[in-house]
Amino acid sequence: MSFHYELRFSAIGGQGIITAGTLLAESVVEYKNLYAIHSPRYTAQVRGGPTKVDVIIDEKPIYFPKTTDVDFYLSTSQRSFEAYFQDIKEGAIIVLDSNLVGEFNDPKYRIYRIPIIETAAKEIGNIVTVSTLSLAITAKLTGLITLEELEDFIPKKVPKGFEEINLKAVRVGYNIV
Amino acid sequence: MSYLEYVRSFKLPHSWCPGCGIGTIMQAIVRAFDALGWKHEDIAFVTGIGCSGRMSTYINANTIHTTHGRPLAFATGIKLAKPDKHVVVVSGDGDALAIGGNHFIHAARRNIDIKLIIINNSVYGMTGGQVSPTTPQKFKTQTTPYGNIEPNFDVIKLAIGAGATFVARESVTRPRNLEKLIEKSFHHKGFSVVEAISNCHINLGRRNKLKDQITMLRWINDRIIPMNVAKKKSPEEIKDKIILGLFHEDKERKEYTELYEEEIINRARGKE
Amino acid sequence: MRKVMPGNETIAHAAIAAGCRFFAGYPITPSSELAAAMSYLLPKVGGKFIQMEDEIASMAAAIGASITGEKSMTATSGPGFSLKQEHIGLACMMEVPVVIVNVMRGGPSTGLPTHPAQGDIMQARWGTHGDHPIIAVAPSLPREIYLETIRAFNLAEQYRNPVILLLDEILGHTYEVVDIPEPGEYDIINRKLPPKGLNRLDFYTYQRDEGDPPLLPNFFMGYNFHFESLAHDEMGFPTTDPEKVDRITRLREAKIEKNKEKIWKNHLLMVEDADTVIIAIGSVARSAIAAVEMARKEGIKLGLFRPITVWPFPDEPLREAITEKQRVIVAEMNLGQLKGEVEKALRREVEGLNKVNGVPISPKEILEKVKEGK
Repeated sequence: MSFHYELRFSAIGGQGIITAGTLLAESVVEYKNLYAIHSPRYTAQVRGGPTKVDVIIDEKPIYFPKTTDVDFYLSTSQRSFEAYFQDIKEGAIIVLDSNLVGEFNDPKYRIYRIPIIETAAKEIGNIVTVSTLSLAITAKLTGLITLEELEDFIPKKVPKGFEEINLKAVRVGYNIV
Repeated sequence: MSYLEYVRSFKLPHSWCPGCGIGTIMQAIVRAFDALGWKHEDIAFVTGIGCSGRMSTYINANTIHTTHGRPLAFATGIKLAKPDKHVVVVSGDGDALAIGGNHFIHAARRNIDIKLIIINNSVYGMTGGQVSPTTPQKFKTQTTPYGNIEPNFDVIKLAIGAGATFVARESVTRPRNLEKLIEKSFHHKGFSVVEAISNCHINLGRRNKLKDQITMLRWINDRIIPMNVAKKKSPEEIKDKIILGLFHEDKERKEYTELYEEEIINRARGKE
Repeated sequence: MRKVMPGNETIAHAAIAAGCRFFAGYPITPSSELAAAMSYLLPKVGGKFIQMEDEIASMAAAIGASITGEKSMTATSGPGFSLKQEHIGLACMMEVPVVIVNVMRGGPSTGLPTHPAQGDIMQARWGTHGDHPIIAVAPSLPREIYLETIRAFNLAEQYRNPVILLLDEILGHTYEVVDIPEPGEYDIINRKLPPKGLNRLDFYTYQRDEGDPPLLPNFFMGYNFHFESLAHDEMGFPTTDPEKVDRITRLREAKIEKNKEKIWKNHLLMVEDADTVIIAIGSVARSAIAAVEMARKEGIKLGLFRPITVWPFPDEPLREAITEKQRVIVAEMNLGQLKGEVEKALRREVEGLNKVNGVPISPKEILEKVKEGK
């Protein structure tokens, strides 16, 4: 079986978690020469409603573009976490925002609790870095992309003037896990 | 050059009833073309469906006979694709104001340089005489056998409210005035509306004691009043009158395709 | 060049590469991103984008631009496709090239705006009234979406007919890797035009040999041509003469019918030795490709016949490829629209795998259906 990895990011619309998923897909295409697809879930409630993005990474072209066995699930909202808790594979990595998602224990999964939003706002100093921070956490836990690659990739993707703070988020994300 | 250059004489005789006002309006249009000296290969002439729609067959230019109510939408595509060409639309009252009402207000809102002439004969003529948005109240039509209860659209107010930058009205009973007004509208850069009051003695008149051309034209003539004359009258005196003249002309507002070139194309190409 | 983008954006880039310089549209899920991409890209190449007041008007404006010579396109979905039908018929009648993208969603009516379906296959063929010719293509894969968009323009220009590009919500919305072909890797076809300077009365524009598209001038070429939505004669003027109406109606049909072998395009995957053949288009065909790979690993002889040109329907290629002994399953996100055509082509009953709940058909479901036996 060739390399195949499925990820899901769920949040409340506007938190910036969807961007983490899309950036991950773009980075593995750019640096790892892998195939990647991401399908954002579209809902009418752009702000405040549950949202998610699914990312599939494969070394071969991807024919069926939907997730069936999710290897990695990151969520920053109780409501969204529950709403999109489907097809999670046994042994999957689950990352939950420790302030925003309540107790969840299941020996079937490898669960990490990290105060993602709080870290972005307080330790890094700007809540807009939530996307980069989540991406760095994902990168560290999955090994899909290296720290050096993210340090090269992120400054090209963020708005002018936000390069330094996002690079800080990359480093914080790598070390927080 | 004679105005007949703008007519496909090989397609005559035309298909309109004897005494129909459309012929008068068509002559006013081609004489305006002639007065302006427009090359017929530079004119796009667009019509919808109905008696008015048939005019595209007889005009010697680039012509298209489209669908019911939509000539302005086709004309918008033509004008935006080729902004240096003249785009003229002829539409009836049902075509422009009922089924095509949405396109009418939005073409006016954009102020795209299309010259619209609405032939308002207050009825759907081609389909046998059904009530239209401009049929007078109490009038009998094929679909208002007990009389029309619906109020009319005021084309002038509607056009001004929607944003047209040249808005005028004339009557087929004053052909030379109509020709001059159409010519003036053709000079205008922006969306122009000329409402041409016309007669359908066959499908509207005969149900309302106006069954021949002369009777109906007299009825129209009794109701019209030129704007300069109307100005001297009291509101009571002109209450039921159809005022003729140029109601609105705005030469300041930018035309749509010019704005498109200046704002969008230039910005997209990075030369603001 | 490699890019990550959704199908809707891929179409926009491909349309520009095909020479499209006019787009008129109206917002509708799940095709809106295509209009957004065109609004950004077209002005950069001097093209024009306009958001019209409704779907009907956007179809009309696209046709209006096309008769002046611009390659033009509109895009829509479900309810919008219904609204455009009258003007699709007008473009068939006047023989005007235009490309219509329909990103299919669940229907009928407002249906499932954010979920995929393939319920418009029949509407793409018969949505507008009257006998008329139509071409519809349904790509499945990212690079193919790019190339089929270019082919849609080429077919529209070559045959002077509307061409419908059928996608579904999955293909429109899924961001994926697109290996964008270089300009030398595809042909660009432009409509044939009469030479300038002829006496317009000497040449009868709708007159042509059976199987040919008509040689029509663009607006402003100096021919003062008349485009007519009524039944018309060989000069384009209205007529009710039964002989003339009959002739031109058949000539319109013939230009597609006589050239269908050139228009057909099918993807056959391990059909020859297959015990069972799946027939599918669009995103379902992608699941079928995956299902064939899975099946073969298990020693199950599964094959796929994937029509890329949906209309004209590839009846003869199907008859040539599929033997009487082979089991046939038509997998589609509707209640059997493609299946009916397949049965007509093969002149026998076949099986269907149908889903109409907004959830895509997975490779596993196809494989289960195969294993379940007749």
